[in-house]
Amino acid sequence: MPNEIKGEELQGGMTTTDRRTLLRTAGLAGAAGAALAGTMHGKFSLAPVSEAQAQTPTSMPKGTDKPWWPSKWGKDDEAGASNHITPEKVLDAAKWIKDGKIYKIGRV
Amino acid sequence: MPLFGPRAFTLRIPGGPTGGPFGDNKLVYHDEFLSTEIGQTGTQFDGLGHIGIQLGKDGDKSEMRFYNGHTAAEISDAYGLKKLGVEKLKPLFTRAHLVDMVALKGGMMDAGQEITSADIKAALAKQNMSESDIKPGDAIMFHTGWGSLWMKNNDRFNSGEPGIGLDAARWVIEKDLALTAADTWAVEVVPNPDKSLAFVVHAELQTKHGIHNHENLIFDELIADKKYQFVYCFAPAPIKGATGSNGCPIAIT
Repeated sequence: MPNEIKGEELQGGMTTTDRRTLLRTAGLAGAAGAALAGTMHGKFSLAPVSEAQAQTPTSMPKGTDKPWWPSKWGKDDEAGASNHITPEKVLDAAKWIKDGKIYKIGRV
Repeated sequence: MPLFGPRAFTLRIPGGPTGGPFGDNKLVYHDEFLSTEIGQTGTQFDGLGHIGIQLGKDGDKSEMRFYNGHTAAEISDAYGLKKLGVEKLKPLFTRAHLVDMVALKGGMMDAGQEITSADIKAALAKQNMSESDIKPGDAIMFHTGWGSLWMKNNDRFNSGEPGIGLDAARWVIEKDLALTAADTWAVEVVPNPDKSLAFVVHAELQTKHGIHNHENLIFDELIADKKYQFVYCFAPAPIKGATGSNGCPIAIT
């Protein structure tokens, strides 16, 4: 019996240690996972990060040499190219409706 | 459906039916619960708050610039974008020109294969369409064949894609178009032929020129009917502060 109790205590101690180790490991893995999530996942998973990380505060990123604002639709505009859709544009587009047929071009 | 990295699309309808019966008429009903990046999964329309460019130091939100120079400091908010939300856009109803790259190239294009402005001109000529008929505010759409991988080989579909590069983007900007679209998840070529660039066409068209982008469309029926010119109609879901929109765009002939 004493041996069994001792065994249980030992086992319990190991369990505690294992859990602590696990938590520490999980913490590290979590941090690594978070770091990976930023670079490895999502639509931007194929994005090279070295260029952006190598930037100096004063340099423009590659492909940008000057500010692109204000917009031609005004400095406060939030609608962008949808501003093209004027009543005249709608009437002009409607001239292309000849068959009256509608195609769903979105995925299910 | 193909999703990117940790993006999720989870639909649940509890109950079966969810509720009822109500009243002496014994009405029963279904409700769905949806958990997803609602504007960035499946057929998706990119709003102007989706893509920006960092001009300053890492973490400096006052120099993370979006369309019209709006900054992350101004617009970012955990409860929805404070500016450039997709609800600010006007509904789109415009002429669309469909470019059949499969017909031009003789088969499905491959990942990393770029559609150039020369390709667009060649495809238009092959389809007996005049480049001069493309007017400001029109939409241009690309059938690359890559969409045929949808739900057939999602891993390959997600691994990259054919699409437009900066050359074609400049053509779109010169034509002053309202929208680009394709049967792919980004419309632009991935990876870019210049391996140091990431989604640079997104930034060029959307961020710098406010030109919209519709991803994961399907043109099979239009192609079968040889309908390359039609009216494109889409109103983004009016979700305040959303980065994009799901929904079903339609083509009308």
